[in-house]
Amino acid sequence: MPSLSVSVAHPVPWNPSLPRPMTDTLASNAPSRDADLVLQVARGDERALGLLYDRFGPVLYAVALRITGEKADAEEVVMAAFAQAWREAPRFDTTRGSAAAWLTMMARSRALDLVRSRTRRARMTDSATQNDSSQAPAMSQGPRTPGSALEEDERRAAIAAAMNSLSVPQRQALQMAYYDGLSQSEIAEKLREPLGTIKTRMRLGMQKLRDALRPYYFEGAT
Amino acid sequence: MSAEREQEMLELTAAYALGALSPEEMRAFESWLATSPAGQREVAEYREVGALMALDAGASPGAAASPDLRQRVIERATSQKARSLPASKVRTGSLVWIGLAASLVAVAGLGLQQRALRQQLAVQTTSIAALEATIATREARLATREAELNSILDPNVQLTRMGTPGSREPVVQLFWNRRSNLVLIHAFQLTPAVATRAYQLWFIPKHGNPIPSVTFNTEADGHGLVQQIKVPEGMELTAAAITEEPAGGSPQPTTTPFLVGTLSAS
Repeated sequence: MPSLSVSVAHPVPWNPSLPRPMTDTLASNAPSRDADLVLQVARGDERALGLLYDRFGPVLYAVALRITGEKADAEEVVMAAFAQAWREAPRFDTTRGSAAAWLTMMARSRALDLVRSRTRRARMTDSATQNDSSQAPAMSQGPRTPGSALEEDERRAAIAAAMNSLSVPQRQALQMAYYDGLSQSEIAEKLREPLGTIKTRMRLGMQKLRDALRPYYFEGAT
Repeated sequence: MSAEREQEMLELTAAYALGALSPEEMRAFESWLATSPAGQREVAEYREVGALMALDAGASPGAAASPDLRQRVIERATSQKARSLPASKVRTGSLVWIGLAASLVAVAGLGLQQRALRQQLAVQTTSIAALEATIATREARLATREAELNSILDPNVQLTRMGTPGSREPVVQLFWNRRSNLVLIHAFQLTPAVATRAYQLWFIPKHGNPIPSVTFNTEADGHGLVQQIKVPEGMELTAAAITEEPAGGSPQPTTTPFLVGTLSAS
């Protein structure tokens, strides 16, 4: 939609809504909620940004590495994603999803942009169809409390099981969309399959993942 | 919208959350999504699935990020104001190095003189600057679009249509966020007003005169968008209306409203 030149004929004072109060603070020993950390980041708290990195940095790096295939690029993507989070934290809205989903979307989007800009799509498609995760990083970076580590391990096992429960064609289509940023039409073209088949495959695959993973959503998810 | 069309759109939610729709599908889907709470819930849920899929990317052991990445992340983020980094730093930074490397290889291979090297670097630099400008422009557009979408996806938003959708007549959609008490209006098929005139939004209270709001104009294609419009408080509003006024607006309507929409009480 195009933007417009706007003037207010008779301006009315308005009061932007203030951030809601914190339910806990970073000074406490208890782990802060993800959304609260984002609120702290919105207030310019570097320590909160560090804690967000500890929680999600390795995951974002893993996604970025899987998409870009290069360590230096993946690190650039992670830095850019957190820089974007730092800028946009004041606009983070918990009613639209979890901090994890918010951060993952930013990192994935930047990684895909990077790959597209270098026209390396063909190579990345091959890597996705081969389901090669040998370059994926370890996920044990950053400090983890025993409770959170257990929860994270359980969550990781659940996603692995859910992915393995998909048929190979379903998994392949989802991975080509997720890691290569391909549209359904592009996937259909590359796999030489009817578009309708790919659409059905992706929809059913995502429904299956959703049904299996609902108990494991990140905190703050609606 | 027909039940069949509604179902067709709902079936696209997973692909939308993965960013796998074609540009045409995405435009149609986002238009529908703006008015579908069920669609918004589905998209939000599939985005959570997407976040969990990220864990699968790191399920196998392998190369880890550099130990100093945490510090670099913090430094990059917190130094943005001081360094005035553009949003496209990742891509542009890489492009600079690719461009320079390509230039150096080409020059060495051909045995060109230093002058030729300078010329080639100048060309590359110019090309990179153009690319940076293009990227920055597109990212700014993307950020604007994301902000627009976010403002109409809020579950507290109430939609009022002025005009007859599906006809060739002007239509204005008014998205009222009850929580923030802000309005976004989207006009289409509305011929741009002439230079000395503008369109003006009015809020009609149950008692009293129309309350003037923003003035605006549309693009040549008849589309227009105005965000962050404050809704008057402390009175019961029954309708919103659009009139054509002198540029700069009027304290009271000078023409008959050509579009009117009812605002519900809650």
